[in-house]
Amino acid sequence: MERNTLVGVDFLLMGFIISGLGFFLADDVPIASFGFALAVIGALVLLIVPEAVPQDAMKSLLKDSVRNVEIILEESGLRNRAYFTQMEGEIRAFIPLAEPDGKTIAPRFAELEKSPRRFVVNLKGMRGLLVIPPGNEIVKLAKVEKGADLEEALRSTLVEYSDLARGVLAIEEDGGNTMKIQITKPQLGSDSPYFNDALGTPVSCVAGCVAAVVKGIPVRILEEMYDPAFIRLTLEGVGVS
Amino acid sequence: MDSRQRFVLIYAVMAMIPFTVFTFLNTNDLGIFVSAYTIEYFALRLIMNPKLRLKVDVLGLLLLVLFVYFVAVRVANILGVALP
Repeated sequence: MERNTLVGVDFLLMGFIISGLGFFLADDVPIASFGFALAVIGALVLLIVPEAVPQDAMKSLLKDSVRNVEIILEESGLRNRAYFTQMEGEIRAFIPLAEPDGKTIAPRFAELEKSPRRFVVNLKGMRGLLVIPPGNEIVKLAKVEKGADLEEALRSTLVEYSDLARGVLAIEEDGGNTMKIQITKPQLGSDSPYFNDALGTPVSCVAGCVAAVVKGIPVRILEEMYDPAFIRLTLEGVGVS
Repeated sequence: MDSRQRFVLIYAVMAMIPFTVFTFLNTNDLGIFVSAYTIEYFALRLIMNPKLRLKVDVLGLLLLVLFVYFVAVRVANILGVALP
């Protein structure tokens, strides 16, 4: 029996015993109510899903994957902003070698869908690297779906599922083309400059993945302001009129 | 401490507040205690929204049933109708 279940059952049983004894034997309402509160806490411990992987372990795994991408970007000398795009249910980050023209990028992403999965991609002259951003699996596990409410999806992924932040606010402008997001108390920072420039800080990178799935179009970070207390993020969708 | 542990801890602290206050006020109505626990539970769930093992919130449902029962008893008392 796992630890959470054991503690939950202990509290629940103790609560029922104290409550029963207090109400029926001692005829004392405060004692009975104390037992009732204990039972409720026990039931809560039992009901709440325990974390499958400890938070520290998950964050260190995320840091390692950030460092791997950082090494690739540093070797390639790439600092251009990446495009987060969903391909066959997986999120990929396309980091262009040169800053692309905003008007011609949308049809090229349609080509990217059809092209074979490679590390170095050439889309009619637009060359770049296609990497798996940290956050791809988190978004899948958090069951983010296309068409969902952006703020709700970000909150469920960053706050409730992964515990990477304490709060999220999101507003959409230009008919959903621009997304302004504020993430409160990010729990993971990064000292990888190339990664931060291309994919944003790790928490923003996960937010980018969420936005790409929710919108169903390629998304990229337009601006990012990182502070240990909050992240202010502006995301731009590609392909929304 | 993750969000789930925080939820249980905050609820435990919150549950002890009405318990202490009502005990000092010599409250002898279990319904008042249960109502306070129920309101606190739903308020905290709404704010923190922790993930539960079951699809149906059994605890919330149970607390709600008890809350409705105690409110019904109180209303019946006021109206002068006898309830079990």
